Amino acid sequence: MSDTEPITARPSAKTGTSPATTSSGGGSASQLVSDRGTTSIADGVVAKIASLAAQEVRGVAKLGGAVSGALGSVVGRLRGSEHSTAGVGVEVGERQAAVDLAMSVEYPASIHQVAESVRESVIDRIESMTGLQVVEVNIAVTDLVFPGQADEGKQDTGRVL
Amino acid sequence: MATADASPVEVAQIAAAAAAEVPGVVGLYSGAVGEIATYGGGRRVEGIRVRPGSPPSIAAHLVVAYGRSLQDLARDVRQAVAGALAEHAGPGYARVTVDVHIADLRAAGTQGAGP
Repeated sequence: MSDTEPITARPSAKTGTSPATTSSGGGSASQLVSDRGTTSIADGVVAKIASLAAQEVRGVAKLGGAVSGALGSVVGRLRGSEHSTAGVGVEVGERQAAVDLAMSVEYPASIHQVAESVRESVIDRIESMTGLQVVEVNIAVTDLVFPGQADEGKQDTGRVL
Repeated sequence: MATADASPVEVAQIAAAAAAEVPGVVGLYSGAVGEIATYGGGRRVEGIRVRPGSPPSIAAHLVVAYGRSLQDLARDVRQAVAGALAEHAGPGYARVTVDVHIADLRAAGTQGAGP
């Protein structure tokens, strides 16, 4: 559900009118072409960014998994979320966003370290890609995945030998 | 240079073609059941809505790739669409408001390409 703003029409505007963009870096004075209009970003896009940012962190096995084990993976497939916004919830405002994330961690990674890295990655990606300020990233570690354990997520099983 | 304005569906086609060329734009987004589109002359242009008027406004609904700053991308789309319309859509479209809706996102591999 996107957050649309009313279209601002300024018929008498000359070049140099600042565009009414959401959370942009302010009005730029010199524009060659008429640059008016708003930008809206759907909540699902923010959620996908958070999901992909989390999956870039080493030690994250997969997202989701409120129910652990085999039952969790069955539920995941039935839900049919083909693009991994499973396990991610976002609240998006005009300038800020908050993220809730559920994930499983690869043994023997430090859960605390992985969670901190995920937090950093999510904040960095959302802020740089959307301009939204991320005020909160809540992480729930729902499972621990052992090397060699079959899972439909990443291929890296972290084999010791 | 055209002396008459293009029809809404022609405007939509120009806008869609310009938006699709912008780096980071994967395609146009037509909504959950394809409801976001402009119709005319037996044609249908997905992802674009045209509101004629003074000034006219365009809404572009986009699917984008992961990695690029969406504010930069939206600015580029705005410039590309406004530029193409100013050149090809007739005098009524010399100055046009372009609202960009980032509706969906695709992972382009997890490397996060883009400046």
